Amino acid sequence: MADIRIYSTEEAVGLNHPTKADVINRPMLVAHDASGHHSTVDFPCLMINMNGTNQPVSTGTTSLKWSTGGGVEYNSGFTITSTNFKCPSTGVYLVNVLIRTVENTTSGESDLMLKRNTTILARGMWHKVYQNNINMSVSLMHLALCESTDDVFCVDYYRSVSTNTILSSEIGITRMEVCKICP
Amino acid sequence: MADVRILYTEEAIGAGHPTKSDVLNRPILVAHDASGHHSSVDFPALSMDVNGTARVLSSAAGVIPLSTSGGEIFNRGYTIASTYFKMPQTGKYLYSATLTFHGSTGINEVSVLGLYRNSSWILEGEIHNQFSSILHCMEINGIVACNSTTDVFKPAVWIYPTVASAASEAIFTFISVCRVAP
Repeated sequence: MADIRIYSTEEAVGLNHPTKADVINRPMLVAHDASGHHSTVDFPCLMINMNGTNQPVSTGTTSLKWSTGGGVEYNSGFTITSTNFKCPSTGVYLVNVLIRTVENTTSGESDLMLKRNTTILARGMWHKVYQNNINMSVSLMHLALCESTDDVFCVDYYRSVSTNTILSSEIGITRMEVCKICP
Repeated sequence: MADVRILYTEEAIGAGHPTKSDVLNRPILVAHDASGHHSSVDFPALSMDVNGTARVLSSAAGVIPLSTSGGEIFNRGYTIASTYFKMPQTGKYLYSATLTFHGSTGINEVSVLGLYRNSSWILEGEIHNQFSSILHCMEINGIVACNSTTDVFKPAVWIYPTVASAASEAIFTFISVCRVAP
């Protein structure tokens, strides 16, 4: 990123000079608005719902399918595909994933994982002891370090036996929020 | 911390002067880099995959052993010891811990996941296991205050009742911490 410091060779000109550029406010207001408060520039956020279609999950690992359209509640610069996202800048991001599942016929182990490329950053596993159409919500919140804007993040769901379904019939029941909280 | 304000007795010198110190950028770029964007100085963060080793949790209060090497996913200035961590600055921190464990044979066992600050128990989540030999995932999230950089934070887990059959095996334990306010 550009070096925007005021240099000793520059004139200390403020805002609204008729012919000269604003020098004094230049470094002060990067990532801040004109009132001096923090802007969203350094704190991009993404709020996204599942793609609106219930997702059956067979034995094994499946990436959750996110909306690239109407289910995106807010997006300040993230690149979204159907099963992953990329962050707009490097830094530490808070990621919160909420899913709702319904067990079909057989109880089994379920595993929710946040991944950067192929690395597991956070993981929670649980065992369903009920079956036959019992709903259950599970959340996973963790920090994720984006080391490069090429890093690919996804949420994977692992199922040990049989199948169950991740629900997306309503906005908010299977959802993810991502926000950069430090550089 | 030092008072970095520009005083009226100082010359308004910018960066790169051959002999004089940069005065103008001094207060502007505290906790910001040369591009004017926020640096990580005021927002230290830590992420741990605790120590990568399954551990038997005792049937009483137990501090979760922390990794002092490979289990750190990233660490910006935190002091990590085998049973505690210390924050790099005072302030308010987002704390999140996820523990997956496998109940053995205990039924009606109660499992508690929490956090000590020094000797104070400041955060707690609980789950009641009505079935044996199943996986549980417990998660607690909270904002905790670090009042001094000597404060010692200890993630801990309890399993009740105090019987051998209530012992469990921790499978995955992830902890993340980030300063979010002064």
